[in-house]
Amino acid sequence: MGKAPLPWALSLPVVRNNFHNRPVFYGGLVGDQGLPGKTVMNITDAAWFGKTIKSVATISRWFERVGLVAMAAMGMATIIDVIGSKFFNRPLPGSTEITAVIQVVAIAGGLAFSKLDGRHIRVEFLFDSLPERGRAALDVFSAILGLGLFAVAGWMTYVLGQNLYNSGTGTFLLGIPLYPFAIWIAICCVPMCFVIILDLFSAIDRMLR
Amino acid sequence: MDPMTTGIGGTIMLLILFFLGVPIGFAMGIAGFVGFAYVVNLTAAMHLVASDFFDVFNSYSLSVLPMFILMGCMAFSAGIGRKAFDVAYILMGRLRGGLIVATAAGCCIFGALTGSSAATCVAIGKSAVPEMKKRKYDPAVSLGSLACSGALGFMIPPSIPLAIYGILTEQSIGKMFIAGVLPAILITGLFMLTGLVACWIRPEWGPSGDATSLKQKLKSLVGLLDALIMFLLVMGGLFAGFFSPTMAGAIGAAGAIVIGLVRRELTWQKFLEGLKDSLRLSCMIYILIVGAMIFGHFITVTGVSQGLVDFAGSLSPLGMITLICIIFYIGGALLDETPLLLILVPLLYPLILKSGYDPIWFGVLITALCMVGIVAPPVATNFFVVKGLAGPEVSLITIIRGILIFLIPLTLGVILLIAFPVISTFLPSFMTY
Repeated sequence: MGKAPLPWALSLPVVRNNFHNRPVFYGGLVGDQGLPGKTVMNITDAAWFGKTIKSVATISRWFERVGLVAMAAMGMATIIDVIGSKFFNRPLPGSTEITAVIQVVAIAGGLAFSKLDGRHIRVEFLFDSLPERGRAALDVFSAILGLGLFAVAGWMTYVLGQNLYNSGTGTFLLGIPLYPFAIWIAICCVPMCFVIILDLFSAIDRMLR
Repeated sequence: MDPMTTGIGGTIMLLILFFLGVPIGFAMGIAGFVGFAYVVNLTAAMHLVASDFFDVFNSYSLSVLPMFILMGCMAFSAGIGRKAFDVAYILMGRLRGGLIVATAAGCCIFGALTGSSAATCVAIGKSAVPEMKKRKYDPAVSLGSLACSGALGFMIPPSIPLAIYGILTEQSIGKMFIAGVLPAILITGLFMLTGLVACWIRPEWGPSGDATSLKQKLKSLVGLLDALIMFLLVMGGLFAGFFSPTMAGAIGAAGAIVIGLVRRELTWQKFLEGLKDSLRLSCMIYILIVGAMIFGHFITVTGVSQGLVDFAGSLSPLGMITLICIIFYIGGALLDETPLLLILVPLLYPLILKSGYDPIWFGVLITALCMVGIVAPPVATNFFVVKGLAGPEVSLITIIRGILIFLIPLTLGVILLIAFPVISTFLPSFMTY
């Protein structure tokens, strides 16, 4: 008679990855405690998952860098406008339009990394009272809904960009074409969707453990 | 199903999504999208999502938010919060309960440079908590005072919720900011008074500190210079109509950077961290606003707002305000304050207009009500921030006990704001634009 099987996960080295600081168990095939005798390949253990996380994080970080430059530029444009208008009587022409379009670049650029950084708030007091599998199941649910929302947002802002291009819509004073900014939002939804997909895989993995 | 029932169903779906742990911004966007697709059609709902994303990201009026968030982050990185507490402590630390008074004063001063209650709590708490431990202050009273005083960052201009309210209701953000000044000073005063009275009744809660000479006190005031310059620059410029709110935020951020550089507090690393923090926080708020916009469009097509206005017609004005206070007290304990504002303001604002209340007064009132939500568990930012600062040796119950003491002056402040609307409307009445 053998001993009761030790949960495999507990016998494996635990490290925390960059992805939401969740514990990841490395070791390839892991015994599924819910289904004795059956072995499953854990998603987060797979080499491709680690590489994908790294790639998505790198891409998101680059998008965020663009956002950071744009955010600094927003502040600079406003300060140049203040100094120009208040001290030299020469305001920056169309400063409000410049600020608004740079804001699109900044905020859309920061979307994916802010999600990766776990910034999006949620009601946690009921969620936290659930067992791990219950929490993981709700994470799967959240990720599917979030993915749907950002897939629609990405697709439709691209369509909006096309419409703005076809109609030649620009800002009122400077005539800055608006379509590149709508398309930028669409592009920024791509890494956001990948971050949510990784979230989804990670949650499925936790659910199956 | 008639649109009104769909609207109520959509709201219930939203609440279910909240409690299932879906991120709040996503939940509002999804509930609004599904509801709008049901009431109108799928194609219109898909176009609505795109246009709301683009309109919110491309809105100049919203650019005030990242600028003031940036200002707060830079003020935090420049170490201005710590100095504010040090000055307040030198001035008032000798009193029994002086550290509580100093915490409230420090939060009031630092809150004038940031719109974030959590940042205020951390900036002051990092200095105040070790000092309170050293002086053997009662943990409940000291941490409760920090959690509640930190919430002042939410009310004292530049206040992110007041800016959001101004944007949602098309009120002047400058006027909203100025309207928050006197109520914030009133609530700060009530916190100080509570600390003094509590420690007068129970001296062991807050022993008196070391005496300081007049020379030391006068010398310490130099430490307030940075905060004072920034406040006068930003709020003075807004009050005089010299700056637009976005300009004031950008100038404030630049001012904080200059002060940080001159005082050698701001390194390149801290600057980058501050910038990243501002962008990530801004992204979170913009997603909340996009979600609220989508949900708001759905609610508009269902006519729920009109239904609420009709319902409010059957209530007395005081009954309506009491009901709103109860909704905010309960809602604030269950939801974060920014989404609470984004959901409730578009619903409640028509009632306020119909009842003839001053919209500026209402904005200040609900911001004060949100302060309760910041400290009232289970969903309470400052409660968890303070727990993090206090460490594992202090139990959650201890902090709740302290918070309950300081909820008394906060509630009294809310009652005073309702009874004397002039506290909120006095300063904006001097603004001519």
